[in-house]
Amino acid sequence: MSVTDSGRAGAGAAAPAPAVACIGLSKRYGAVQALDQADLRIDVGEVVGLVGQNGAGKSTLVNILCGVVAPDEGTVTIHGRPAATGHPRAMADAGIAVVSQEQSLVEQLTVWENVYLGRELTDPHSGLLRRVAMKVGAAALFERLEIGIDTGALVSDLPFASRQLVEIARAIHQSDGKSGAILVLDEPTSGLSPRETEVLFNLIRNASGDAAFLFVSHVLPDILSLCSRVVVCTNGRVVTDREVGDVTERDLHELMIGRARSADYYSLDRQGAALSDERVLELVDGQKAGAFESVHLTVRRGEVVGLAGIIGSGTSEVAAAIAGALPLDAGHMTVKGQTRRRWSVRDAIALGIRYLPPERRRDALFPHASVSRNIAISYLGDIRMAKAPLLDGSRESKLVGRLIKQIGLRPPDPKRLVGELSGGNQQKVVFARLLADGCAVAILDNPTRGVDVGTREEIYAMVRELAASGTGVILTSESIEELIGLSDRLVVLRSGAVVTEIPAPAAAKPTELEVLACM
Amino acid sequence: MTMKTSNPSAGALPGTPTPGGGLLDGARKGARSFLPVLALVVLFAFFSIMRPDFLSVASFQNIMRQGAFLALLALAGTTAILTGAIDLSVAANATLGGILVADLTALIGIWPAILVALAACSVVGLINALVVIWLRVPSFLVTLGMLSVLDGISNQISGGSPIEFPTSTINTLVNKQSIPGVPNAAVIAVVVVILMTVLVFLTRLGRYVMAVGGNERAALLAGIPINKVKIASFVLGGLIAAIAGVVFTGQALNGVPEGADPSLLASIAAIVVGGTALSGGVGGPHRTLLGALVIIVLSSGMDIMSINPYVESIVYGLVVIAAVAVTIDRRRYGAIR
Repeated sequence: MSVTDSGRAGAGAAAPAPAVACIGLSKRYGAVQALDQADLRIDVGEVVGLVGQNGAGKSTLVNILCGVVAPDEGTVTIHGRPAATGHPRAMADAGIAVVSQEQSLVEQLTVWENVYLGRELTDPHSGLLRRVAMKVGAAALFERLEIGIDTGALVSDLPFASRQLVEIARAIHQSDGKSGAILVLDEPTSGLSPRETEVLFNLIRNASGDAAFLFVSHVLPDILSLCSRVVVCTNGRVVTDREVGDVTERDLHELMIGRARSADYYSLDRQGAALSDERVLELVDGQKAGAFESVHLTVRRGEVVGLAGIIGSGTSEVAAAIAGALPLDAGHMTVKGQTRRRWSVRDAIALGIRYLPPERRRDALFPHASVSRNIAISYLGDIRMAKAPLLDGSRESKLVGRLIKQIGLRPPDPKRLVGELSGGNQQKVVFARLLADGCAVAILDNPTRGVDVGTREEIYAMVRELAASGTGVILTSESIEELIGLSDRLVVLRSGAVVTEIPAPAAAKPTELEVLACM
Repeated sequence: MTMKTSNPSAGALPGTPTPGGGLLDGARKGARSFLPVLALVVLFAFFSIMRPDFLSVASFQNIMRQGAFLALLALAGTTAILTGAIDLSVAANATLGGILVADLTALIGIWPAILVALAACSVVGLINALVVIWLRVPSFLVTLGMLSVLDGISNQISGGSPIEFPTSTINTLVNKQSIPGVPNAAVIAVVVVILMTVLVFLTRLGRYVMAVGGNERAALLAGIPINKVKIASFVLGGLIAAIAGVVFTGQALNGVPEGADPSLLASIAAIVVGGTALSGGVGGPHRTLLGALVIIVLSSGMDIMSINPYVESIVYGLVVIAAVAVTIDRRRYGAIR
């Protein structure tokens, strides 16, 4: 790999080595190919945009660049030198810095102390810190980058947006004197106002002379206004690499979607629409500070309602709120004629609401317990002995056996520890918790995340079965295609508010472009 | 609680290898069921060969006597550990229970005194649980503080010296051999083990306890009343600590301030050696009984070989560390609540 790279550098003798060159990066997680032979090149002075749907491989690419993830195949060269992938420290030393929502500043220190953190200037004789020199240096840096922040201020006193600026300034400073910083900006504008975003962009433009930027964002207009080149990921591959002048927002949408939808795949022939107009659930004026506001949502018997929206739009939070995992600040919910203002997960379950949370390992699984225990935890009331307050082993194995058959667990072994199963089988186990007792509402938050293609289809079939049995389904998904394929109706959220509803009957599915345009 | 999913690939993907798991993962699985039995057999064989009098009736009765107390104390600590917490105040709580019985027997009679001890120790468990829940302080700190508080109370009640009291009833209760050759204390311990095992594996509460220890967040989202489960586990631990205290006082025939305290580390050793993971959700009371036997065989074997008690202390410490290393879930290292 390094041979081709040096060859390339040799060919254009005048051109310096690219700041970053990734060649043939692949990464597999179990059954999921997160990244597949991806190439990426960023030159010094460039701002490159990276876009793609969730699960397209962006995060994996970013994680490889900052050393958190080691690729299975492929190489990364930084300023012409092969980089030690999989070692965060080595990648940082080579010049890569990441600015994300999770900031890395030490809040109890001042801005200048943060700028020099880990690379403090010391007096060679006494070993003491040269505070004045550092203060002056930081002030000069901020003046050069036109950042209007007092470098003597405590970071904890700064608003979020200003801290983002400090992070970028620090990254640029810490690679000064080397061949130039490489900054990976991971969704840096989410949570920023348009004005703050503009300040951030100015900083990036000011700094881009001696640095290289990779700008990862869902916000396409930001990409188009800031970047010189844009790279699109789909299904783990880098499908496009174009100058920004050549593309429109609509082009990007089309490039991100990638492939055609298949009717069979989503069992569209079994999509039934709502069984009746009876509302099984109604959320009225639901409000949660920082997540969503005045959300109105109705679900009818047997209807699949898809919540569409980018990360941070509030879809997952609305799902959690209905499930009782996130108490509302205002608003109420009516389920089968019963109204609640505040409810816990337990209350929701009593009302007939079942919840499939978004991250099964964190939210749903008991990894050291058996499949049987993991399933039965939701049916303990049903497997009690008739005459004693004890659990009945034979009832348990009968119920679990039936459910294992229904979810198609492979191998169908109730004694196996859940932690040892594949992701797809784990998700089926979680699914089994909502299948047995004919629940009124099922909330499925990203039911196919990290699941192999075969299991996906089986999960789609289970969603259809649930709906056909009269359960109202609320669905979120990282894949818009999947959301459209499964839903009878889409509710689109943007910044925590419902912006529109799009009907999606089997005969007249909206296109992904139509839905993306609303998000 | 945030439901933000800003980094969709993190933590969500299946089959992600866990760093540092490999070898110990496999070892741990087999170790849990197999090692305690193996340890018991090996220790028995070793001490029998070294000292044939290890197989004497007196030696067995000694093992049963000491084992009964240690098993009860370890059972008292097991419920909290199964939920992923830890109760370091069990031994001090048992001491308090024993002191209360000794102090109150002359006043109100042995049975009411035992009832008071059971109630008081349960209340201690309740307070531990409420502080853990309300103030969100890690349980090892709450119960470490409680340990000191309880020692203070026990010393206050006893004036710092052993309490003499009419001991005929408690002597019968704890030391009589209703089954020939088997002291009642051992019968009490076995009954408690059976009841606890039924509770943990055959009741809804037991499943809840294992679920909270296995994954607290998943338990919450499955609709399990996790606070009630924590309260139940600590109160039950307190209740059993009181029984351990009664047995201790019955064996000492004295109310001894700080009497049960030195057995704290041995009781934790018994729990983890039995195969119950400090990270929670794995193991059970039946394993604790096994672990207690291992520890007691080890200790009486060392006694019989006249090994210096200071060396014994070193051995306990090493056994705890080794057993924790084998049983703990490294994916949740530092997750002991």
